[in-house]
Amino acid sequence: MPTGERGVAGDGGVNAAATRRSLALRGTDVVVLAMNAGSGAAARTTPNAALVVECDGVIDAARVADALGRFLTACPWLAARLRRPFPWGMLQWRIPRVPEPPPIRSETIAVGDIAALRAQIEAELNTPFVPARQAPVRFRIVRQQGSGAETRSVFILTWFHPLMDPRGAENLVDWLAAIDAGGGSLPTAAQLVAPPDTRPLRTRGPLAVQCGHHLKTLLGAPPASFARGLPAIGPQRIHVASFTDADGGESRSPLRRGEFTGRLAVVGAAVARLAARRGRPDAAFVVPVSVDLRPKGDAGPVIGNYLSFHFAHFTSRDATTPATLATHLRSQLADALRTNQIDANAVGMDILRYRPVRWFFPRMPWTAGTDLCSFNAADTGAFTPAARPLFGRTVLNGYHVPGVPRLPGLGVFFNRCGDVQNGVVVWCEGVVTTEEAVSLLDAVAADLAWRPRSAA
Amino acid sequence: MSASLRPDIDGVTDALIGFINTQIMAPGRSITPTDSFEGAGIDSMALLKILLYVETEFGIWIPDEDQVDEHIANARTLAEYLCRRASAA
Repeated sequence: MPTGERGVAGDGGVNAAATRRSLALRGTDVVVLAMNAGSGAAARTTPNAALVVECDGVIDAARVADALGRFLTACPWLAARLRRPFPWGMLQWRIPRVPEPPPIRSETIAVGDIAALRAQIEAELNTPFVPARQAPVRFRIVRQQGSGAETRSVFILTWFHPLMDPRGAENLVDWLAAIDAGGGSLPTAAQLVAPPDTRPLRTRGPLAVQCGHHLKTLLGAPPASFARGLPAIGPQRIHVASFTDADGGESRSPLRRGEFTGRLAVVGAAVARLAARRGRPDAAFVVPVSVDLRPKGDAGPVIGNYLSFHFAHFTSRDATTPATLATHLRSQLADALRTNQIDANAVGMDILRYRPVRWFFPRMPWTAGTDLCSFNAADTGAFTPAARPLFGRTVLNGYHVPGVPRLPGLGVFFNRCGDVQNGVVVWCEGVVTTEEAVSLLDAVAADLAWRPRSAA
Repeated sequence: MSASLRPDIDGVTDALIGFINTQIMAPGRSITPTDSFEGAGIDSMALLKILLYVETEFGIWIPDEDQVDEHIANARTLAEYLCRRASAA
């Protein structure tokens, strides 16, 4: 039988507190899986996410493996988190007493072979984890060999999304770097796991009701989605492009500042234009916006999706220009904060963990299908090159590539690494074409006055 | 409850810093009036919480067109902007 609320056994006594601490499993984990699970074809979706780090030179895989091994020995939470029942069944990672780090795979491609690199990342997204038998994280190092001494490396960390959110993945890399440097103490459970919501049920209950009511009244009809009704939906594809900000950080308008509703508006307007070209000029859109609940200024927990959601919704009429839509979305988000809806949504999602997944869908206003939104969009953060000592090389760029559910099968994501602005489009084959995906990023870059840096 | 805003830059700055350090920042990660919001890890959602605090505490909503770096770079610049608004009213 699984230990459920207990930490994984056999930590060798290195961190006894970790074995006693209850595991926090937040409701957003349920949502992440529910949005990816569904039924039929949608059930084959892989809720994976990847962090890609480009380095100048050869990454030392042995150093990464050694740091991960020490991390798991001290804090085997990667395993423990999945050793408990989920609402719809068991995800049991049957690990030995001391968790064995997953192997770090290496491949070599030619420098500048963008298609080969893209294929490697797509393979990571499309290869499912089997949590009953495998570690919920994978590492791959792609060496890009050029003529002579010219070599670059790309580090790809892929994880099973219920394990952690993108910020958590960055925190994991930071912890590995700290362990590798040997300058800090090993992390403890309290540093790693998102804290549970300790408010009593009499407080959380009404908030969950508020969340449910909000979801039911959000939209009167199913949201527009390019995937709805498609006879076949293929594997995930990606398009990544890197840009520089034209004005170099001078005083900027709200649309161009790194403010998410402005960026979502740019994406929303581009998607609305695409819908219009496909004969849907009056579509209604819903976009779940993840809200990082971590206090600011500290890295925060690694394990667990420490998130709430805001459900942005708009119509094509709201999206005549990005600026118009930005004002609309910003007002909507401010209202959600004023009415405590973000907190209610966090609690509502959290309470889902006590329910079977089939309970989830009837709570939504659009129950005819399993596409819960029109597209995914997120600002997955600013990757800092702090992990340089771990990689042993200069970090040139870093970005997240989150997987998207087959329904809606489309996501546009923002990442920043130093002065580099990265745009990532992920889609399921058949939902949009490659040309449409590229045009989405082109439109985003044009509206934000970004100049192309390179393409991948 | 809203309080009328007097053009007291130091007082407004202190109020903003008090809110940010207790409601936004992690324990032990306090910021000072001139610390950059962006550098302190304050994302757009956290900034919106600050703007809502300003609305509740001082009765001023900062319109989109005024939400530029010049005004919201740090607590001090935000306080200066708010006091200018109050003086002009």
